[in-house]
Amino acid sequence: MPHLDEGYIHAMLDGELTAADREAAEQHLRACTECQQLLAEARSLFAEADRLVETLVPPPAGKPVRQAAPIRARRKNYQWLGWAATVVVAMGLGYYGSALRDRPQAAASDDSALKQEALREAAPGSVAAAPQADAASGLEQKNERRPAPELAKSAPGAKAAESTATTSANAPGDLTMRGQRSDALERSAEEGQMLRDKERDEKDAKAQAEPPGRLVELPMPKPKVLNTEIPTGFRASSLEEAVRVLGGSVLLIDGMTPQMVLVGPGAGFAGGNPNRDVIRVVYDDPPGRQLWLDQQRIEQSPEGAAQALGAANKLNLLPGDTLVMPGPDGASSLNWVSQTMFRLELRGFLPADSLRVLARRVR
Amino acid sequence: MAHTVESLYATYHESLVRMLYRRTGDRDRAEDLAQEVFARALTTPPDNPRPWLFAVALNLVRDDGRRAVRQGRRLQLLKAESTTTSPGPEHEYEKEQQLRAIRAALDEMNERDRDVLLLKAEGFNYDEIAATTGLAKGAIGTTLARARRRLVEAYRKQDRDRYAAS
Repeated sequence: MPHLDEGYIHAMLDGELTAADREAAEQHLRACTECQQLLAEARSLFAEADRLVETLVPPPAGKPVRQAAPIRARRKNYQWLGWAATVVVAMGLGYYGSALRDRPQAAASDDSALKQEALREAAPGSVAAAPQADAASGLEQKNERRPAPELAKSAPGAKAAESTATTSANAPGDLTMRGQRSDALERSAEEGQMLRDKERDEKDAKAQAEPPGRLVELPMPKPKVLNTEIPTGFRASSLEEAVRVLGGSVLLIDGMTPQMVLVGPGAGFAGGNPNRDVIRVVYDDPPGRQLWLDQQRIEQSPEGAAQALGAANKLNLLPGDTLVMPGPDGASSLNWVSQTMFRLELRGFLPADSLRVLARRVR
Repeated sequence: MAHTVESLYATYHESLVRMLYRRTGDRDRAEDLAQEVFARALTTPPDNPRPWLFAVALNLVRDDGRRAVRQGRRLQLLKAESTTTSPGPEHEYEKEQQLRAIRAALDEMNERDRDVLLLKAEGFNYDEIAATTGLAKGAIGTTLARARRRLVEAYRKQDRDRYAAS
């Protein structure tokens, strides 16, 4: 037998030789050191190549291949939060500092006090509104305000005003210019405090009307309802039929197992083509409620695409946009037109953010 | 013998996606292409499904690759992948580098050699590889021998370059 070529040796290693051919090759190999060397080399290449190819394993479904961008995006968000927090703290300090600065100025400057009095006389409504705001505000705001006069008293300027006022009070009937000025000072200090109190009350009332998002009590998720009923107008469909209806592959949520595939009229599919059927892939969300992925392929022909996009644009949707719409019974839906020209709707009892996360896994 | 798309999907989807992932380096793209393959199987039910499905898949990869090159998508993809090399734990980084080297080695091979090698990795015998690729069965052994040699040599070169650069 002639020497074995490399291809023949690989066919032997792959188990592709007939028993007779293999026997003949092995017989030759026993006598030929050159071919033995070739076989050893082929074995090494065979094992190494297999190992290399088998190292390439697809990442598990649902795990993004590219992770760096989202991580950077999250870092960016934290940076923004940091900046926002800095701005809020700076504004707060500025407000507090200006409040402290105003008090001594009001007490120390007679002229500014007189000006403030003139201002009060010119705009009495603004001061008169303060008690109403007091009445409207709750106990907490009143309690919050209590330390303010104490703070004003502790300020040197305010102490001066207080002592001047006390002096004038200890001399009843002495209506000198100095007494008038001290009255004006006292009034202006009180008035300034009232204006600041009013402003703070308004802020508190506004804050109560719009509590911060993190304090909002979220409704409890609905109890698990295993609803296997087929919605009105829909009927069970096979995957083959769904592919036929769509005119192409069915889009699915990566990493989730569909429970049912339904087909129904497109008339009820907002922003879809009413003349074409819609495919609904039904999933169970983690608490066991139904999650619907409705889909309709937008026609590939220019006329059809224009018509379908026109229908989608009733929802003001362009490819890449998403629109969250509330549904009945607390459900909500996420609507979008994919870049691959699918009109899609994901409807369920999950928060909008969760729907968006799932929508990113639709492929 | 008639096969339903469901049964084809259940039998071949995982293998098809794995082969497409090895071929493209992009899981999402592999999934999309696999979906397209099964959609085509629906309109043209194959008699000999495994070679048929993989042949369609490889054709789609070639078409998709040409289109991607025209659209500049390949550059974008390489750029996006390069961001994954953010320094992490050392072994993760090392593994990432190794995968990159294997992928680069595969990319250096000619299309036919690469396809034959990837089909063999999915357990195809020589008859099925011949049916899928259109090669003569007698040429498969030689093609595989060459493909294995080129992959290993290209990988070793990548590996040497990597360590020389570091």
